[in-house]
Amino acid sequence: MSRPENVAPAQYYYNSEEAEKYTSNSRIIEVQAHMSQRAIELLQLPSSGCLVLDLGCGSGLSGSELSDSGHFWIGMDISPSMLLVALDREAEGDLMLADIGNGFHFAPGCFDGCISISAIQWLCNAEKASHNPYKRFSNLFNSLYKALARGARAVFQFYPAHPQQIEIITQSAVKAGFMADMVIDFPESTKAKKYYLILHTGSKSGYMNPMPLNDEDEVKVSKRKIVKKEKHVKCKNKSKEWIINKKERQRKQGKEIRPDTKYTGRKRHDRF
Amino acid sequence: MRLLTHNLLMCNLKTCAGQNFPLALQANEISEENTEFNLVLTQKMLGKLDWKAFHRVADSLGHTLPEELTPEDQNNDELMQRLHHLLFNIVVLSGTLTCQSCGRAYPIDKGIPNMLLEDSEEA
Ligand SMILES: C[S@@+](CC[C@H](N)C(=O)[O-])C[C@H]1O[C@@H](n2cnc3c(N)ncnc32)[C@H](O)[C@@H]1O
Ligand SMILES: [Zn+2]
Repeated sequence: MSRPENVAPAQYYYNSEEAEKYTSNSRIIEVQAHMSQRAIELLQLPSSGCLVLDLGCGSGLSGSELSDSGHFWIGMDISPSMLLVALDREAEGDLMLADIGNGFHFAPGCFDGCISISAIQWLCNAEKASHNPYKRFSNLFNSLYKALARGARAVFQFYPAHPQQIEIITQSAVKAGFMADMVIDFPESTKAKKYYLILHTGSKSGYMNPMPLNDEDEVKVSKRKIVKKEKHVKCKNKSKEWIINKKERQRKQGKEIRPDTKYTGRKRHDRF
Repeated sequence: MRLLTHNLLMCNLKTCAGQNFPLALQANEISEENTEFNLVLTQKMLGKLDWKAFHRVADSLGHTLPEELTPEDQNNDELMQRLHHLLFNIVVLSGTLTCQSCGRAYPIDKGIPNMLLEDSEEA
């Protein structure tokens, strides 16, 4: 499956069409809800009524789970379209348009926790010549460390493209002062496998060491699904020409298609 | 943007870190929501607030609050309800946040502050 972060920068990829599609897909809604619930469980917040930061909050699917757990959240996202969908859905949290790779500044220690669901793999790409992924992760984690209360935690669910990414992200967090743990749910399954990076601002005493989920049944189900999917996806490497032609065909069919930009079909660099 | 967020948010420029609180709020359009009173949440947020800044911004919007907050105030139900309303129900739909240190202005549109930086401002 192609990785969205290799298609275009997030603020272009998640345009209004994609933001709507993302938020009305029942499969996506379900998967994001599950992962968000799992991240909240891994946070082990001290009580209800906490203030939680949601990094890459998108249209508020992850935030809904925070609200349902009785917390208030502040969400940041780089895609205006995703945030507009969040407004449409009457997201209960407060929203902000921001690039988390640039860092952010809040009153020191004001957040009781932080979650980030399916977002930080986007930071691994250098979207502009001036972007350096190492720098952007360090901006992110340094800001986060300051904004979290001592003893608070952050849980990042993300999709690493390769093992070195995990290494680099973890090291960057540790450099910023965090203690880092990784929980991998459904490690046997290519599809259901999920990575959760848990960052602690203080000592881990009092934190119940989480067990990775490993539900045999769930793994079987998702394996069956993958086999089916892979037959479909066996696609040739999509060249810029191929994409532009396809878009042209779809336009002729009267479909609403994103205009071609300099990002169309561009192979984008991953500096790690 | 709610007043809670205003009370916690700082200028996004690295050069301003630490000396840029609070951002001056110019509210052009405000809506009042009607979320259910949540005592636990309100009490927890009080511990995070910069009361002076909160007092000032509430005052500028026509809400008078006590100069100081005492620990007993946590049990003052009427005050807690008012604070809940101010923190969570007042939403600034459009306006500007301006850093008092560097003068950078961040527009608020549809209730969403735009904290994006220009290339030249990036950290
Ligand atoms: C797959 S969506 C997940 C949204 C939400 N957390 C959820 O669970 O549904 C990833 C989000 O990360 C956001 N994102 C990507 N890069 C970002 C950045 N540099 N700063 C802020 N948000 C970013 C995207 O705009 C997108 O909304
Ligand atoms: Zn400033």
